[in-house]
Amino acid sequence: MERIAAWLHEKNPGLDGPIAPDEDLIEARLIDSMDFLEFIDLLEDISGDSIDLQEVTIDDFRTLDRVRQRFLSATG
Amino acid sequence: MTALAVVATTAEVLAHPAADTALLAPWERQRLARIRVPARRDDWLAARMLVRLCAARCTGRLAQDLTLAQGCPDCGGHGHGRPYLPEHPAVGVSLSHADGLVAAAAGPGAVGIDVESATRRPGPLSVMRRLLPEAELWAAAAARPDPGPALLGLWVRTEACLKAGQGECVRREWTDRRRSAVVAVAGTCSSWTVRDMDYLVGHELDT
Repeated sequence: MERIAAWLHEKNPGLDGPIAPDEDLIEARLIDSMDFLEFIDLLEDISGDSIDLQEVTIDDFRTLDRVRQRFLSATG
Repeated sequence: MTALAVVATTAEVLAHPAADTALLAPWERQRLARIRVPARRDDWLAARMLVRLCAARCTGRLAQDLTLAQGCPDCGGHGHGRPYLPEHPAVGVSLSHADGLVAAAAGPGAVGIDVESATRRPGPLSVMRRLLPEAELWAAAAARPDPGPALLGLWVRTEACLKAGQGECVRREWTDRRRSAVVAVAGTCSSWTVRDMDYLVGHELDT
């Protein structure tokens, strides 16, 4: 999860403090629509698995907790 | 009714005399409070202001008299999803913001607008190919000497169409060189008036 947090901070230079596991990344505007392309690529790189975009919803990316459960549970 | 699309910088909108958080509905203020990054918060706020100013010009109403709502076609919930004017169901509205830029559109029928910084580049292609029309993507990717602007244009057009809704097509696409913004508007109406913030400044919106 450290890589994801670092990526989010890189995308949001004015972001102070840590990102809570249950913070709503979409509502907080920490990821915009174009960022999603890179975010998916990052998750695939970390997990080693391809994400089927027909099988996911926006809620799967809404919090760090949800991202971990949905895409990274196998990587620990 | 004129279909109107307006592009501005966030700073231009927030300097407008009518740009006041008092215009926001309580649910919008709650959403605003959840945005921690000041620049993102300003963009979000400016887009909300601009769409009201734009809709005011189209409807002949005052910005503060317009109610802006959002409804989600997927979950049926409110407070997110496609924006609309409950008191003007025939008027479509759309808003967009990115990196200090904002755009808004209002007009008859379905409306979708998207703005991005002209320097931004979508990617990678491995993800884009799963989201964008294949033929258009490869045509953009083949542009020389730099495919970046073509890919950005394709992304902005696609976003505008998605916001307008199924079956709607791009009506205008342009680059605002002064603001370094790439913009596309899609929707039902075939004739659009494109203006910048100067057009709205000076109109009586809050008296």
